[in-house]
Amino acid sequence: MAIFPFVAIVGQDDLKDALLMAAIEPAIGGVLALGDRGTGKSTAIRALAALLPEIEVVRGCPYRCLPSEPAALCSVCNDAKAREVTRMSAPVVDLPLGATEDRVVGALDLERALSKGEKRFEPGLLARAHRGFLYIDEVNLLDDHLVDLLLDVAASGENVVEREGLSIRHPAKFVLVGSGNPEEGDLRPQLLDRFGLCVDVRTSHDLRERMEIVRRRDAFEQDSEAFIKDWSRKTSALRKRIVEARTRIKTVTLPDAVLAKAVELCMTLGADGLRGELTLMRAARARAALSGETQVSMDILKAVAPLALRHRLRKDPLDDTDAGVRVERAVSEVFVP
Amino acid sequence: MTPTAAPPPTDRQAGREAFERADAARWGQADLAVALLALMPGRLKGAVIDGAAPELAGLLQDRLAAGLGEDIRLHRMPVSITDDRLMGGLDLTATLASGRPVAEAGLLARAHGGVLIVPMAERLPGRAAAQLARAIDTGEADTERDGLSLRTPAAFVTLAFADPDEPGENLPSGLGDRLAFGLSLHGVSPARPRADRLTPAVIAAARVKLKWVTIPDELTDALIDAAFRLGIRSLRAPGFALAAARGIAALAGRDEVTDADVSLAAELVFARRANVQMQSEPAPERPPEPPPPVDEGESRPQPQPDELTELLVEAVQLRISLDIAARERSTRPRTRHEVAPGKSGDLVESRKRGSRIGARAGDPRRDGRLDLLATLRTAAPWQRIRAAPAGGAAISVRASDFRVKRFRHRSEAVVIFVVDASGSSAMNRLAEAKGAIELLLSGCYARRESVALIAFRKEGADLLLPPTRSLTRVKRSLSRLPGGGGTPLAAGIAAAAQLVRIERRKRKAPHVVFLSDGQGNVALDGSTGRERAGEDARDMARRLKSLQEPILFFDISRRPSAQAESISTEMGAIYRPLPVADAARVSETVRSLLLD
Repeated sequence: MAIFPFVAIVGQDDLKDALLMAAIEPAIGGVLALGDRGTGKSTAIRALAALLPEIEVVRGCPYRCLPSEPAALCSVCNDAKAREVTRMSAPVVDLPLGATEDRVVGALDLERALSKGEKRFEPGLLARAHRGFLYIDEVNLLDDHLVDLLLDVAASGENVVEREGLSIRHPAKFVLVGSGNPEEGDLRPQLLDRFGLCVDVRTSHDLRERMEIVRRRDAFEQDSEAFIKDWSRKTSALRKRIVEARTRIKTVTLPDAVLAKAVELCMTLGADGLRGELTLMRAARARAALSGETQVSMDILKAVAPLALRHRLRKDPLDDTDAGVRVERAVSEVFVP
Repeated sequence: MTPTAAPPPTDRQAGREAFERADAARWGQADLAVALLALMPGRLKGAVIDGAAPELAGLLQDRLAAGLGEDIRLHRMPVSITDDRLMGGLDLTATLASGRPVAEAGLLARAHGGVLIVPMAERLPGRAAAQLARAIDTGEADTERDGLSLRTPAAFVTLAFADPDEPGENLPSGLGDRLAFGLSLHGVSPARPRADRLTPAVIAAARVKLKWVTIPDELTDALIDAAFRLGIRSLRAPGFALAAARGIAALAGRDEVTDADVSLAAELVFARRANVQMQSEPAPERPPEPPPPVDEGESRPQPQPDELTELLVEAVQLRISLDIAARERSTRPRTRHEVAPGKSGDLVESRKRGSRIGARAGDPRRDGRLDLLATLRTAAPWQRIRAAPAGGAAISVRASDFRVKRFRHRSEAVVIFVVDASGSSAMNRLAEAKGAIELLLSGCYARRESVALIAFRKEGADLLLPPTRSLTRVKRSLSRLPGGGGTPLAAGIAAAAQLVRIERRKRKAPHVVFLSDGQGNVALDGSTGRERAGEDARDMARRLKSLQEPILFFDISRRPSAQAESISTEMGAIYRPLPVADAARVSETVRSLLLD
């Protein structure tokens, strides 16, 4: 099925920014997109597949190993004769609902075991998502134990399998993206703050924008090939920006004054623990790199604060205020001129 | 069918004829919707159909299949379908026979290229609905389970039939949003005129034409604007309406979409989605004029865009009121003995066990109950390399194959608040109930209870808040609570019993919490009079008791009253006096007495 181009998505700037920041700096630790249905959450996330820069892999490697540092267990990459470096599109793995643990973490290759009596590991979805994105649509419908498992692996970057007489570990560095509709049930808070960024996706109330969204979608449905072609130049340009930002981020500096404000902001909000501060820093650097800056400015910090902090606030049942608004309020308090 | 002036309200005969005309028009529209689905299945995806008589449902299915092409198969999706049947899984028999894992396609994959029928769609569990929704989005069914990784094409037209007689049972909205049309066929009898204009040949001709159909910009704008004004937030809806308008023009053999096409498309797509508040307004007393005929492209002055938007909004509102009127005519008001029928299909399974949500590896001696099928499934592929079991057993099962059932334990409780919203202190009481609900939902995050609120006042009981776990939703829907009037306690208890039954069917564990003084003065049929009202209330209380779910009764009288205590005993409830309304105390008591 044809993929709607990322660059043709109208509005949803927060979501697009968050995904791009995560693509530039995976250490941000995942993106959670919450919001009404029909707002194009899945469209934006699935669109990444056609946008992300290609990755270099060894041909036939089941673990998507980085050619320069193959996983210890990877027989393909460690076989010097077979090594042939090739390019593939970065994986965006859509986790099917009802996926069982064996298929997620990987399991004994049954066919192989039965036909050749060979004990071999068959990698699962975690291996497939290595160096890319793993997407869970409707994260509130996934079994708790699987969500926990995914978050653990996403945080450690390594999949450790102990089952069916196998003892295996392989790299699994991916950006976990979850989406959900809060009207269908709030997420567990301990799950919430394990995502790096949280985006509140809203339906646009601007008629012009709505018209543009529907028109583009309609044009895409009418002739997707032509539509994708029309946007291909912009797609290439954005892809180039991602590649450049990935290089640039290594040199982006963070002035002490900005760092101090960031810490102050987290304290004002009571955003729990170090995780908030770290994510805020990383997101600010990624955002700076994306806009071609070499230094994190106060403005960039202000812009990313709601994304990095809104899901880390303590819930107050008697305060109806939207979390994003609370962050913005704190921002204006901390940043008094 | 020609539009006529609405009949005078006193003339019943003429009124009936107007209704009949309106019904015929609704059937004509259903037929058109089905033809559109056959014309552009990949674009329009399907329809949600309310209140269709079985013969009508069958007729629509057949017409859809015929329009799609020859040998199109209909596939039914039972609400109780399991993950592996839906998405595909290991074929146990074939696996055992061949000694290696053999995959079996799921229902979604088998429905590829055909029609998927979902009867009683409102009872579809969220998870199955989400899986169906994903297949509708991507045109594929992908599954990763039982050591299998399957990715199969799954593009089909979905007809979701909703059973109308249970208020509070709504179609999983993620599903409804993904299907283009919403049709209401209440009261349309199969004997009524059948539109046979849209034959497979006409559809085939339109399919050729479709590519060249254009739609003027101002019509596109008006459609998008109208959706917005009708309170439809999802942007899928205007997209569907645009496509449908093109299809309507193609079916009529035209190259350009007219404003009549757009109006019809708006009715078909927007009516079901329009803001709920508007739909809950009382139906008009007399039947409104039937919608204008569509396929006459007469020359009349093109309305201005804004005017056109207005026209579209009005057309959709008219459709909604027609649908409501038809629904009210076809579902008789229930008499007092009909209120709590024990509907067949109630789950008899003990709720203590919770609902099964899957299997995991484990030791049945330690971790609970053995899942035999899952265990066999795990053992099956190994049979060839395992030595034949001693003692002549057919299958060799080892300890590592054991799978135990996983249950969703008390996490699936639903707390149903039933609140007396009559009289002068109603607002206060409802506010406290709302406070208690919010405290329950926010207080203990690790839990997964959902909460519902029924309020009774004036002549009846309303489900103000359908079961939800979402604090967001509670805040949105309870911001303005109605109150006042008489005290229809019996109706409140009956509504609670009905919701209990609905929730049990969804494999939830319902708990009921009453906030009442036990003194009803409105009987089930709406008549006033303490004696009759009291009798009805006791009657309903006994019925509620027979469902054997935990009930907590807060007596909100100034001082504990004998009446409240007796009705509480009648329903087998735990009785607690609560002279001063207090949200924190209510939520604490509910938690400690019912949930922990």
